[in-house]
Amino acid sequence: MLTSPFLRCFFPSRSVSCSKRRFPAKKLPFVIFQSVAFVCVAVGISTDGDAADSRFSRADSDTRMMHHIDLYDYDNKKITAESETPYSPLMTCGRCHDYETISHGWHFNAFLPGTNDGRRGEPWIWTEPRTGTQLPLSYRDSKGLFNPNDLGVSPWEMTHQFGGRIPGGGVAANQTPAVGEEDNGEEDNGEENNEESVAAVDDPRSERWKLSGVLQIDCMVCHASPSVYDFNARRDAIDDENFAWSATAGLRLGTIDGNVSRIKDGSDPDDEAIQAKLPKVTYDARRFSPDGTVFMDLIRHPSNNACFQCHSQRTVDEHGIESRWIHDQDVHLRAGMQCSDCHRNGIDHNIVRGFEGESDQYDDPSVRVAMDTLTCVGCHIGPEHIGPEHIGPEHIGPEHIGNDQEVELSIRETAIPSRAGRLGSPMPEHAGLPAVHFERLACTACHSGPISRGEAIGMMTSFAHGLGVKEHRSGQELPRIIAPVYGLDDDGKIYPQRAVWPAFWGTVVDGALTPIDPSMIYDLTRKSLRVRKGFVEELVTPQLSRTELKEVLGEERSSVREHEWTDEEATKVAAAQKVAGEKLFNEKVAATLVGLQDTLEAEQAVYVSSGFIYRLAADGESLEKMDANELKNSEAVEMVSWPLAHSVRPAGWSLGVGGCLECHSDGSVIFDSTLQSVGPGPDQTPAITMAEVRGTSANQVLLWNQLFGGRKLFKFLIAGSIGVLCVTLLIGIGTLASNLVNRRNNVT
Amino acid sequence: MIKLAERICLLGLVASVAVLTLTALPVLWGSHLMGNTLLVHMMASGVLVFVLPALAVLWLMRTFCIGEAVGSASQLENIGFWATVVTGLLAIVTVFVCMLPVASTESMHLLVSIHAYAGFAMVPAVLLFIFGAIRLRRTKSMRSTTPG
Repeated sequence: MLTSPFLRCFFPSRSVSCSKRRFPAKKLPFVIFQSVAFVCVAVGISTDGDAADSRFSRADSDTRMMHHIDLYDYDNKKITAESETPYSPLMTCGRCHDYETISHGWHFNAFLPGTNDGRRGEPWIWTEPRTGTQLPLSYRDSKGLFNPNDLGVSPWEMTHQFGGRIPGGGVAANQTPAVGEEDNGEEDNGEENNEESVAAVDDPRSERWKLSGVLQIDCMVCHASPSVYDFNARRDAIDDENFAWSATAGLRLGTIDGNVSRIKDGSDPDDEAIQAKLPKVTYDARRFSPDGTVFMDLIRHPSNNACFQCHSQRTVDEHGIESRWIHDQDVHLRAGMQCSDCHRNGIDHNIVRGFEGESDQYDDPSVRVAMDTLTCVGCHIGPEHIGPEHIGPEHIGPEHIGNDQEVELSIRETAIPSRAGRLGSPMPEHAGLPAVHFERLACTACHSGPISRGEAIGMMTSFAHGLGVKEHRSGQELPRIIAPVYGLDDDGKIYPQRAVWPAFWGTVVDGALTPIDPSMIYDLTRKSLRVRKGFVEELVTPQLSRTELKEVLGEERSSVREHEWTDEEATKVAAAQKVAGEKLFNEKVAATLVGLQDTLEAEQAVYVSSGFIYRLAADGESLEKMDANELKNSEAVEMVSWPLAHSVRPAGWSLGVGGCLECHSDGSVIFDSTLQSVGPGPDQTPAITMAEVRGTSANQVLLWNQLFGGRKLFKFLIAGSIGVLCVTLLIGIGTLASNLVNRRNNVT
Repeated sequence: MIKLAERICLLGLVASVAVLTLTALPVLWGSHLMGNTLLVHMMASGVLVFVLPALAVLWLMRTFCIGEAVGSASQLENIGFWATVVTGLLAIVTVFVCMLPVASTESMHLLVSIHAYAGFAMVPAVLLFIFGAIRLRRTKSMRSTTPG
């Protein structure tokens, strides 16, 4: 009975069954070594991409490679139509492709030791609607984000929660760094990881790996032809804890019977009764050719459809999710481009993210040039920071050798591969736009993101809201994300960003706030909160009872349907809901905090939402707000933001196209549009302007606006000034000429 | 009256050029003009575009209508004046073109460079003009106080 034998090679309890051989647990290191050796030798380790030296053969043609291939299971056994085990991407794809190198790519490497954290991106937001939790997590080091390891969230739980949006590998493959090794900068190798994986199973939930299997990097998630891969089937499999079966489910190679989620915690995977409960695959015999191979319909460059599975977004206004037809999508896509035209990668799968300065981490000049010309500036205008590699060999001088030069290069001086215009990109003139704007604003500030309407609006993303899954969404689902927020990034430029305020239950010990493991919080708060579906709907804005409605609307109007209410009535009901919600929120949250303090034996339990910290008042029964300054880590409750790049709008829809006053006047989007904290809790911080978010004083903005208010008049003044000076100059020239003529006449 | 107006304009010219030069100094070290520095620079430029043509008109009136030019002091003032007008005109024209929606980013970089050179060149020109003007006044006052 081979269920997930490859896993059992790594997670033995008493003994290990591996390819019909049984190893006692004490031989585990040997098993690990053997397995790693297999991965390294059979799969091969190649990081330099040197095809000639690599054991991986290549087609080296632009043509599409036909993949009629044999499938192999996790035990490296060939799969036939009669097999019952799921196919393993590692054993199947890894035979010909450098899985080890690929596994260090951006989509898989978040936790690996020595990995560059890169520019901050969208965090994983652990959302639990019944407890009002929206907690931004990341294995990468970024301000305001919580590391799951610090909160006690096991890799298995992260995989179960977010696996539907992880292409596999890394944390989802249970490759966990040992404590203290996260930042040691040492080169990772599979052996270390796998040893650590075994060491990391002290968490009871981590025992589930033995049953669920791991999420190996599923190449077909990105490389399947459009409409071939069933992402929802894969997500369903992951929801059912059938991790190892998800790749098979996604390709619909057969039907999968059985759910690991139905097997109790603590079950012995070696127990035959338990093994009998593990899922079984019934392969679709029609997928197998007479020679036993299966046609894998795949493409080299991932299609937009694959990217959209995890990188879609929708805007939300006061009426709910905005209709798709009123939006134009990204201008590049509308022009016929693909995501992968700019977001490219080599075999290392370090996909170009396309922000300025990204290439700094690479030493290879050709890589730097290629990456620099894939940024907005590099592609449309030319590389921003000029290095020797960007200068044509005939123009390079000793002054160019060394650090990056802040020099202007003409098109002739620029080396051809560094020039703008890649893929036929138009070169914008930015006529009349003072160059200082390029020092203060990222391209995306004017060209990307949802068009602001005076205040940041709601956003939904695939990562956070599971877009792509068939559900009934109102747009008010947690987590509440807003955009665009025009904040400063590390380079001092203004970027449009998305933002979320952490909402979670936590404990304060010695002034330090720490969230409670979000995977435990429902069980901990269930009895006191008594929320069945939604924290917001049931506690913060509860439905009014018929009696309460009668009090608010009167006998006659209380029976009419909600959509028939007048605006005044709706306002009255909302106000009554708010009052009822505040009472209920205070009552339930206070009771829950008491319960948490008792259960966890914590000095102080708190609930955090929208930048507010709620704690028990001195009476021990009611709530009071705690000042964030009382915390040592007040950033734990602050807004978390990350830059957004898409959708890029066409030039005509950019900010500032209407002239200087579009931004330098009262009420402008980039200075005076506002944002307000949002979250499951009942309170919101007062609205603040984008200028305040960036720390710019209102007086300074006002001064600039007033200066620009008189700009038109100033232009006339300058024109008049130029006219007078020109006339003066003409008179001077005339006088000079006259004097010269007179002098000449006098001489003659 | 003309003298008073001319002196006020001269004072405005010196003050504005001083402020403009000081605020533009960071450019010499490769920095960019931005924030409050740019704000002050722009405000001072408003004074310059007003006083420079006014001064030019007054100077022309004094020179051609009243005919006050005297000796070598006048030569020095002459050179300073015309150098101030030429550099000032160049500085103003380049920034004016930048304010119109005509120049591309590349052209704007060129214009701003010319603006900077012209602006810095204006400093010695104004100094020469002031020095010449002071010398002229002294010469005239010495002549008017010398008996016979």
